[in-house]
Amino acid sequence: MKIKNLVCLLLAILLCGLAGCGQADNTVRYRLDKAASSINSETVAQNERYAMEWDDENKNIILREKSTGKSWADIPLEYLSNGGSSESVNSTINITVYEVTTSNITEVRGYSGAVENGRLFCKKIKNGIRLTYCFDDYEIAIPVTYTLKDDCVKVTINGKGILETGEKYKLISVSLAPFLCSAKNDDPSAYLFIPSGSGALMYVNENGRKTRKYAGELYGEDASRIIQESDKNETAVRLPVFGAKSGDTAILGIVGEESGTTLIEAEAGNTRTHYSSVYPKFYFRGFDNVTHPNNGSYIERISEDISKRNCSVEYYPLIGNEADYNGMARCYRNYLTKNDKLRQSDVEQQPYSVTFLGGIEVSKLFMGISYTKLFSMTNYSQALEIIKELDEQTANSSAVRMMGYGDGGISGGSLAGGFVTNSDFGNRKQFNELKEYTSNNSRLFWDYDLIWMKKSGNGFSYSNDVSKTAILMKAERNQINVPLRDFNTKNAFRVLKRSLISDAMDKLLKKAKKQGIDGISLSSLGSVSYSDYGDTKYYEKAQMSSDVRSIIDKAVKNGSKVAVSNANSYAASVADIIFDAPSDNGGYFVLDANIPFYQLVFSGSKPMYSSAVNLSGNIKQSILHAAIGGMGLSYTLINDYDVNFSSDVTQKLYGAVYSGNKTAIVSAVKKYNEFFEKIENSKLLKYEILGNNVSKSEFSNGVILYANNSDKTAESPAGILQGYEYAVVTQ
Amino acid sequence: MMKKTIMLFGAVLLIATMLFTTVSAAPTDAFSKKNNANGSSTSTLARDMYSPTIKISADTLGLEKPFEGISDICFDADGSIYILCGGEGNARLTVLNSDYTFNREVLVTENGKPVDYSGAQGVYVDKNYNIYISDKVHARVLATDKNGNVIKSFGVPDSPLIPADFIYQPTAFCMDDKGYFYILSLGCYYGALSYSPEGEFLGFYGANTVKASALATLQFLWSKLTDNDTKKSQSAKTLPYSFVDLCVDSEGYVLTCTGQTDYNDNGSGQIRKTNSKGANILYKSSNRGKAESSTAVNFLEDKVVRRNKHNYVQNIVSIATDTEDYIYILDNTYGLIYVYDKECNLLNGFGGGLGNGDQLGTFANPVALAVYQDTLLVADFKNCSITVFKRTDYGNKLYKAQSMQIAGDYEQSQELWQQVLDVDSGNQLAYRGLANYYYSCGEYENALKFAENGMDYNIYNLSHQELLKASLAKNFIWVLLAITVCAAVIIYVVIRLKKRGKQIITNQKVRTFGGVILHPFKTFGDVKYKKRGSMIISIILIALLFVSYTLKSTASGFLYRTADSETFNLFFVFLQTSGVLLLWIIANRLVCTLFSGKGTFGEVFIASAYSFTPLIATTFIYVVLSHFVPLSASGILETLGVIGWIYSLFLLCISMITIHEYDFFKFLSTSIAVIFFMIVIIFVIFFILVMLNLSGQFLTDVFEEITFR
Repeated sequence: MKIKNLVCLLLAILLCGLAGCGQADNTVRYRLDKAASSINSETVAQNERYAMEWDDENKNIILREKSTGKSWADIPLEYLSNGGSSESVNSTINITVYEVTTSNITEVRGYSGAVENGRLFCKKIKNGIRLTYCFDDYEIAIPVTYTLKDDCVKVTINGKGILETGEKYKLISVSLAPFLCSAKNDDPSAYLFIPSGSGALMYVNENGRKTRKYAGELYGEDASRIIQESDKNETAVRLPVFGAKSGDTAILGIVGEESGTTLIEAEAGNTRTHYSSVYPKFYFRGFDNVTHPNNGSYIERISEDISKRNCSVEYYPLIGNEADYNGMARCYRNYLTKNDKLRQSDVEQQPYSVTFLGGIEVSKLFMGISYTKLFSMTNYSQALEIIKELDEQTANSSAVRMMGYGDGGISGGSLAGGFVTNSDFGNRKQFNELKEYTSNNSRLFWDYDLIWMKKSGNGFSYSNDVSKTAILMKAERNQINVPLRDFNTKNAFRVLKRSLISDAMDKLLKKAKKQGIDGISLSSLGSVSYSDYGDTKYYEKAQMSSDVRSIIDKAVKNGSKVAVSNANSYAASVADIIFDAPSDNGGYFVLDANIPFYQLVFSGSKPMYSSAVNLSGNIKQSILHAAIGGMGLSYTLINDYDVNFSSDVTQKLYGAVYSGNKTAIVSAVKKYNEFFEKIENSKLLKYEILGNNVSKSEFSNGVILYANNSDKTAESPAGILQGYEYAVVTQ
Repeated sequence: MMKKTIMLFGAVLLIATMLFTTVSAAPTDAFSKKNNANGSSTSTLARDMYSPTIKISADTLGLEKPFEGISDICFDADGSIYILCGGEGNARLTVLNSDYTFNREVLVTENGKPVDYSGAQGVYVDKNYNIYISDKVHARVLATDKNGNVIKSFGVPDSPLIPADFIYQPTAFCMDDKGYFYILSLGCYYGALSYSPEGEFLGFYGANTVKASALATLQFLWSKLTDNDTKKSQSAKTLPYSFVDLCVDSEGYVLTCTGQTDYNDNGSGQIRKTNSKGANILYKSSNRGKAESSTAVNFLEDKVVRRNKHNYVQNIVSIATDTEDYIYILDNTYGLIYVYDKECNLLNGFGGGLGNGDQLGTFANPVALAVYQDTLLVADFKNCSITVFKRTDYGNKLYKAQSMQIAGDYEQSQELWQQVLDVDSGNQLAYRGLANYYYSCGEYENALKFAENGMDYNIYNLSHQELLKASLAKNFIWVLLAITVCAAVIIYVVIRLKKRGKQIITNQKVRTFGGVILHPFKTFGDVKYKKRGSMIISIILIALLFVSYTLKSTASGFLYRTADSETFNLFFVFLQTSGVLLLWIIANRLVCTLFSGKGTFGEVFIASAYSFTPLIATTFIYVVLSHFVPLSASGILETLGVIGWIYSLFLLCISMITIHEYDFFKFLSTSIAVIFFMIVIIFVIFFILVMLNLSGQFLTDVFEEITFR
């Protein structure tokens, strides 16, 4: 009897379970339909300056400035008034989905995928509106909220609200408001602002050109992503901003810090829609590029779980004098200041900086037995001698950064080079002498790599304390050989687990304190953003910005000065000094002009130095870029060079030997200092492209610099300029 | 969409960032070649000789129509740029001024009527500004004046020299100073068509040859013997590779380039310089002071990279020379540009993009290059653009210094080389240049140092000789005296000890071994019958054989050292020396047992090891002498090595005869059997290793799958 009852009970449970499974899809869709509603065209939110309107007919959000009547819309109003019917312009959201069975990736437009089928639902919320796009064919629903704030509209994808009920399709990414930041191609003054490198413009005119497309991953490629090839050196997007100018209006988009993996995409001079636009694409699933085990072809594999974070963009409308890239830079600077994210540094800007490279691992033979040895390229005494000599001969002091003074040198070893400076470079006395000499103006920084490691040490394991990729492999990177750019498969660098970065910093601060080091350089931490699919908290680069900021805060509170290098916005804004600040846009063909947006944002708040002038392919151009942005020059030096350095060495050590560079440094710095003294303690206010490859940089103390950005002679308001020359005018 | 955009974005920037954050990320890095001690060369980073300055396209010039179908570019004598777009139904010829501003469109007309040259592949402008358009589709070369009026059209020549099945598809044209000109026809393996200044067809010129191999020769002979007509008709004929571009140097010699060769190999001899008879006169001055024909030189990379199912084999598509006869070649596959001097030394390589270039200095489908003074242009078919490269300050110095070096003006070049070295410390050409300078000045110590850094064996050898001469001249008496005194002391001690009846070595086994060189029969007899062989000494000898060969590779004098610290494989040396000897011992024992050999394993072991004493001794002597002997006297070292081998094999012969109690012929026959058995053992070991490797690979995959998760 008892057994019968038990069997009946089990059967009942099983039936209930099965019934539940069958109902899952319908239940979700039912709940969505019940919750969804629609509203008529009306003003959904307003404040003193702006009104946000919902156009139910066109399913369009319009932001209107009350005083001038200027408007910005998800679907350009002029386009609608001209009866435009392009599916791409009518789509206020696009998604990409991954078909599980075929591994195909498909882009689905919001218009044909949801709106046209009547599957866009909207609901008024406080100060805004919530739109839910239901892509029924893919069983995916995306909730997007538009919230009016004092001076902007915040558009957010609520990650937790994303529904993905089917088994066949997986959501990968969402492109948000693709035409909110747009301009009509026939406007000759219009352009898109792209944050590639230091900043770039894409002119929207068609002029017989093909549609130009740009895509750049915000904060650079995810270090925890498996890649198969790397054809060239890409220039990363360091600032979470993008914009468009058209006529006397402009709009700036600032990607929210919590947004994680984001691609900034742009299309200029689109010959079909005749509109140009720039927009963010948020990733909700990570992916790895792997080799097919059977045929060797490249295939993509995505992460199993979806990221539940919110992704947002704040759109700032700009009018009149503010409606250009200078205004956009001011707007972003104000945004950082207002949100208490831009720290004013008290470190003094010098006209130049010097980076010393300590050691490098070289392979040697002893009785035929190969072994690696740390070769000292610049020891403490040599560095001190060089600093003294340069101080004396240039009549200026420099900011000094010491790289590769830990375990493994610049070849890499255990995490942060073992957190200590290696005794191979000199004894304690020599170390202290160097410290003492450079103690004034906080000008000495020791670089620690808190992300990459090549072996275990100091409690951080090369095997276990490693981030995971989207398909849960250990995240690692190989070096690239010239000229065929194939990967050197030996000695891969691995990426530290995201959850351990803070612990590593704690250890570093403790050890640095013990050694009396107060200038810490975090080159890799400031420039590398990555995910860790071993922990749901860190999917899709989530929290990277806030984590790094809090780590740097911790160091600052500890009394340290923090330097970063080629840094992402979140690190650059809170650091005390920026080395290797980006000074060009990467030279992408699709980009039309180079602008020092990065410098417009950060100049005056902290010292900034260019990338190494002496290692640059075009030295004159490097110095010019530094001058345009009001930055200090930078030099990377070593004292000793060995012709037997491995051919695998990817660093440009050949150009760093001090003896070969001394004369050039002294003369360049002396000349540069004539300009630098004039702009001392001022910041870059405005940058203008005058035509004929001449640009104008205006500094806050009234100094104007005219620069010839080409190799040909050009005429400027300050007279004839030779190729890559500049002239300074003091008002 | 996601694949290319996000996947590739920032990959190398990331790597550059993680390793070395102080360099601004140029799209790609320049490189040069580093000669290694083992004779190979590897590509290493180098300072940029050329820097990309601007990309020219129709929109930057304010032209309406893009440069679609761009197929060739060239300069005229004034530096004006001619851009040929051979797009279907859209062919046009655009002329730019030397400052890259638009000059004019050349309208090609014949008797006032426009001429269609769609599909044209090449453009050339002679010193009189006449334009030559290689019109592949219409099978002609159009010669026009500078305004585009057709003066003459060169169709397929009416000559008995032209084969009946010849397909005339002109793709390139060039002319020498005397007015002789050359036309390249697509797929023509006979060479270029050469013409007199009057336009008379002279014949084919400078064809490539089919590379012969032993296997190919055997195959050919076999086919000759066995093929019938049916078989012959079905067989494929091996034809030489055809040229893809040509140009004329300052002396009027024609330079040709061959495009993609084998699928798995970049090959060699891709560039040829032909004299009036069509023979290749391009040579490479090797770092050993010898000149080798360019047919043996690989102008590209040794490696072929496999990506996404494809082998990326390099493919030269364009060649140009300048006033100093430097050679510029363009690789279409990787978008790389190589700059060689006229002696085939690589000065610099740059460019890149691998079919996907979207940044200044990289290419998507580069098709042509042109050189004028310090400017280099590259036309990109896919991007419909031209990239302008300017020689950098460093490039100018390197260029001038190398030109002086080739001209033998070492003194003048010294300062420039020093400046080159200041900013490119790894530049082997600069080290070689300075070595030459110091040698010419008689500063041999310095010359030695720079020659070693530049891997210049020739100058090292000459300087070394001079130093040795000077040293001997200065110290000859003392050296002679020292040697005489040492010899006298040794002789005296030995005689004294003998007189007193004392022995220097008292250990019987050691004494037996001591006799192996001079009294081999007695020694091996003692080993066999008196059991005076020592296993310990044998093991030490086998170890010493390995050590001596290791030292020969790694510790010989610079001129004779062959080991490279990055590639030297100690295990391989062990296998080649002690490994082979051990294998001989095992195989010998096993085989000779079957052939009534009387030797035990221990005896074979000891006898074999003892036999190699001469080789070990001569190898050690080789190592020591190699530090003193110049290359001109390298015969001494080689002879020493040969003596060591011959005497060791002689001892081995005696030892085996004695140990196994064989006669000579039995020894010979068993030795052949032993060698055969050794090969069998190697094969079995190899087979087992392959099996183990596969199993290991499987286990590694399983292990990785488990541990990486």
